[in-house]
Amino acid sequence: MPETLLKVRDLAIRFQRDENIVYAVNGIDFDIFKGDVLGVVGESGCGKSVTGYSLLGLIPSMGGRVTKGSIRYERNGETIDLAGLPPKGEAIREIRGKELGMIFQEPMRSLSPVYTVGELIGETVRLHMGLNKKEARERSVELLRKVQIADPEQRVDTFPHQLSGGMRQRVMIAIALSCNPKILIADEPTTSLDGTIEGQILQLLRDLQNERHMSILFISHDLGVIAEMANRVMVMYLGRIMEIADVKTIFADPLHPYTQGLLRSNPSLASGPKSRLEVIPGIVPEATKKIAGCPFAPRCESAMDKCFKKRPPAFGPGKDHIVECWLYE
Amino acid sequence: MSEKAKISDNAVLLQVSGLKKYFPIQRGILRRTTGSIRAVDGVDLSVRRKETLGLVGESGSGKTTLARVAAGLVPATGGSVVFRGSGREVDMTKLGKKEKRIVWRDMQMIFQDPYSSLNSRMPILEIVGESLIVNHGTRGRELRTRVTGLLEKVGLLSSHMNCYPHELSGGQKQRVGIARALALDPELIICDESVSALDVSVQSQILTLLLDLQKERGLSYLFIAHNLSVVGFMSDRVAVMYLGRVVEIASSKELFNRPLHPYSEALLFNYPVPDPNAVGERRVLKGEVPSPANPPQGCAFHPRCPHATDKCKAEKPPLAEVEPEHWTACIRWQEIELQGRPIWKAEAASEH
Repeated sequence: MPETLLKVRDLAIRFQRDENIVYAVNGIDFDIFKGDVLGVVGESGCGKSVTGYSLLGLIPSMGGRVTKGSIRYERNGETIDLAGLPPKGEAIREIRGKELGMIFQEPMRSLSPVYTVGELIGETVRLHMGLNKKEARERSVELLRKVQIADPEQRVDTFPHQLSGGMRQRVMIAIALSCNPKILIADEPTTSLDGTIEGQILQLLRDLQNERHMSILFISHDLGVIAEMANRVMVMYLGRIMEIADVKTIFADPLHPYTQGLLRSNPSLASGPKSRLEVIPGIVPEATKKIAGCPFAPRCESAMDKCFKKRPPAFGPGKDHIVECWLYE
Repeated sequence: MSEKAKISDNAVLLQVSGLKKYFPIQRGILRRTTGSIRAVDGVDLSVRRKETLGLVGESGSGKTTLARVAAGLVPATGGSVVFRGSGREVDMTKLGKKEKRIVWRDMQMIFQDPYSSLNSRMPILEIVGESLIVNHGTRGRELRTRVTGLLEKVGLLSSHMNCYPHELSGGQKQRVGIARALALDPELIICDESVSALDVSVQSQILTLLLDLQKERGLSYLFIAHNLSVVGFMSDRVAVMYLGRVVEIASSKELFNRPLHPYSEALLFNYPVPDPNAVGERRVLKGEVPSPANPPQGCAFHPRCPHATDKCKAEKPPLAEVEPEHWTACIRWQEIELQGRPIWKAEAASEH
C-alpha cells in the first residue's frame, strides 16, 4: 500500500459572485499517494482548479470560503489540516512553495515582470532554504539547467518577457522544483502551448516526475494530456467527483456515463475523419444552485428518477475504482 | 507544382498563390522600419468546392494571418488570392472596400473567441440579421422569420433573438457566430480556431453542426486550428504550416498514416493522444520555433530537423507534388524514413 501524503475529505468550497453563491466544490473525497500522479479532468466550472488552489490555502485570497471538510496533510509524523490554517499565517507559508509546489497555465501572468529569472527562483530558495545570494544564484543556474534551458548562466539574468512561452513555463517549473516539493500542483501547465513545444514540456515533466518520484496533482481539460501524465484519474463535474480509477481503466473501461460521454466526444477517438461524433446533449449549467441529486442527471441518457432526487454515494467495483452513479448501486 | 494543372479551375473555389504578408518592425522615435516579420512567406494552397481544407501549425506559424489576408481583412504584401464565388472570379488582394463587401456575401469567417467577436450592445436578432439588413434591406417580420430559421438551423431557439450575447453560454455564442456566417448563404466559411475556446462536450456539438451544415448546403471550409485531432477530424485535406510556409498538403488520412515532411511527423508524435498505451511514443524535437523576423536560411525547419543536411541549409525547398495529391516541401522525402501515427481508433485497429 503506497504511503498517503494527503487526504481530502468532504471538501466544499463556495464563492460569492455578485448576488449569487457559486457552489464550486460540493463534498469531494480523494487521496494523493507518494509518487502518485493524480490527473483531474473536467470541463470549465467543474471545480478542478479550485480543488488545486484549496490545497495551497489560496481560496480565501480568491474571495472564496471552505465551508466544509478537511485537507489532511502528513508532515513529519503529524497531520495538519490545510483547510483550517489561517491563509496568511506562518504555517501555510512554510508549506506552500516549499512542500507543495505549483505551476499555472499562463506563465507570463504568474511571473513578476520586474525581477530577473535568477531573482525569481532565488527568492524561493532564499526564503525556504536559507541560502545566501551567491548560493541562490548558483542554485538558480543549476535548476535552469535541470529544466533544459540552454545557456543557463546567461538566461539567469534575463526578464520573463524576454523569453518565449515554452521557456517561461520551464522557469515556472524551475521555481516550483526549487525546494524539492513533495507534491506538485500543476494547473493546465501546457494549455497555452501547442505542438512541439507542448511536447517538450510534457516530456520534461514526465522525466522530472520519474527521477524525483514526486507526487503531482495534474489538472487539465485535455484527455490526451491526462492519458500521458497521470497514473490515476479523477473526473469532475459541477463540483463533484464522478469517477476515480487508474488511467488505463478510465480510458478502457469507464463506468460513469459522463466519463463515457467525454471520451466519445473526443475527435481523436472518432472512427475517422468526418465520421459521426457522439455528442453529450445540453450544456454545463452554472454552479449557482444547490443540486440535490446527481449534477449530471439533466444531461444523462441513463438518468432515472432517483438521480434527480438523491446524490449517489461512491459506489464502485473496487477500492481503486469508484463511481458516483446510481447505475452501480 | 501548382495544383491548377490537375484540378480544373472550376473545381477550385479559393486559390492562394505565392501569398506573402510581412509586418514591418519599427524602432526609435522616427519609427524607422528596421526589418519585417514574415508572418506568411510565400504560400500556395487551394480550397476546392465542397471540401474542408484543414490548416494546422503551432502558434506563430502564420495560420491566422493567412486566413485574414485570404478574407481580405488585411492587405497582402505579395501574391494573389483568387476566389470564385457566385460565378465571378476575383483576386481578393486587389479589391476595394465596396467590392469586398459584395464578395463577402459568399465568403464568411467564424472566429475563435465567441466572447469578443459579437457586439455586446446588439441583440442576437441584429447580430445575425445585420448582413440581411445591409445587403438585402430585409426588415420587420421577414427579418424575424429569416433569423428564426437561421437560429433553428444552428440549434438555438427563436426566443434567443431577443437576448444579448452576455446572456448566452460560450457554445451558444459560437452558434450565433455560425448563424451570422450562414445568413447570406455563403460558399466558403473560414473557421479560425472556431472551437478552441469551447469545452470538449460543446466542441463536439459544434463540430457535428459544422459537418451537417456542410453536407446540407455544399459548403467549403478553410478550417484552421492548432489541435491536430480536431483538424484531422474535420478535414478532407490538411495543410501543415511552419514559420509562414506550407510544408505539406495531403488528405487527412494520408497525412496521419504516411507523412512526407519531418515537421508533420514531429507534430504527429508530439500530439497528446487520449490513450494511456500510447505513452512513450513521443519524439521530442530540439530547440524552439525560430522568430519569423529572422527565419533560418534554406528550409526554415532545418535547425530542428533530425534529417537536415548541408543542402537543406542552403536551398529553400519548394512545395512539390511528389505523389498524386500529396505535396511536401522536403527535398529529402525519398531518402528518409518517416512514420505515421493514425490517431483514430478504427484505423489503428485495422493497421494491426
